[in-house]
Formats: sequence, C-alpha cells, structure tokens
Amino acid sequence: MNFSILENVDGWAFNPYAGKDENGNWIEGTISIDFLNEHFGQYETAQEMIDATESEGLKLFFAWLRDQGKLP
Amino acid sequence: MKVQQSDGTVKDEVVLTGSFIELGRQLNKTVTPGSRISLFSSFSILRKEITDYKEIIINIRANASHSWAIDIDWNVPQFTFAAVIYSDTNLIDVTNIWGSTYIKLKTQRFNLFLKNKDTVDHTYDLYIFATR
Repeated sequence: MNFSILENVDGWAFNPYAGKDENGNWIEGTISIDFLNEHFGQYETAQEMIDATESEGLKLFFAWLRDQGKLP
Repeated sequence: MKVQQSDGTVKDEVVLTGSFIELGRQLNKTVTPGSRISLFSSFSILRKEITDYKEIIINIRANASHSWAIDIDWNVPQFTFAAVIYSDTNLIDVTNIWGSTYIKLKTQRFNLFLKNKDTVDHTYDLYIFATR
C-alpha cells in the first residue's frame, strides 16, 4: 500500500484519531505519510495493518480508512 | 545549558532572562504514533494569549524515556529564532527529566504541533511559560 494516494498537505493526511485527551475523547490532527509508508507500506489490507500495531489510535485510523473505501 | 537552534547548530549556553509566569498546563495527552496535533486547537492554548508575550517556554514531558518522540514544527517561513533546550532549568520542579524538552520561542509567528515520532502511543504533559 502506498499511502501517498491519501489526500495530504505537505505530507500530512487528516487523522481523526491523532490524539486523545485525559477524558478519553479523540483529538483530530494529522498523520505523516512517510511514517505510514515506512511502517505499514508493506501491508495491503486494513486488517493486516490493524493486526500489526498495538496503538489504539492507529487501529481506529486504519479501520476508518477502510470505512472510507480507501483501504481494502 | 546546551541549546539546539532551529538550523541544527548547537550552542553551549543560553541565558533565560526575565521572570516567567505559567500560562497553563495540559496534562496526560496521548498522541498516536506518526501523528501530530495542534497545540492551539487541541490543547486549548489561546494564540492571542501566547502572542501577548515576548518569549514563550513550553515544557513537554513524555511518559517514556524516548525524548525524540516529541517534536515541534515552526510552520511559518518568517520565524526568527527558536531553540530546543535539552537540559533542565529551575523554572519548574521537574522530577522526571528524561523525555523533557523545553522550547523557547522568540517570535509571535508560529504554529505549534506536538508530534509523536515513535511507533507506539505516548502520553505527554505540557507546561506553558511566558515572559513579557
């Protein structure tokens, strides 16, 4: 998967799960395309990416991309 | 204290002058790996409040000994000076110095983002100081 296909500004794509506050509310932000390509570029499906990380935010982000139809 | 300037060069010493006040603190914020969040929009830091001051000191403490998991971008072309101060100062009582970074800003034109460059979640505490 080449994440460069995601809509981005200066290499940063929108991430609705970029952070979380002390009350557990998710904070919108951006995520690095280079980071995604470096660490998850070898995977093809959202489920493979979800299985490859322990981060709750990343799991939700990949599922969100799948729901958006941007990941198989 | 050693200071790395925005161009990457390191100075041996920096002098923090004036009396500092704490503008506020934001504690226990988690940032997703590879992601960044705006200090202004996500941390309830008021831009006007910050730009009212001459110098801003932002102290960021991570929950792990991974000091390079945090970063600040100055996404404006006209910034005049910024420094990352690696060593502790007596501004606050820092009991957990590893993962602690001081950002000193001498410009009113900047955007601040907190970025997690690591591959796992990290939680941060931020303390905002300023001087007129």
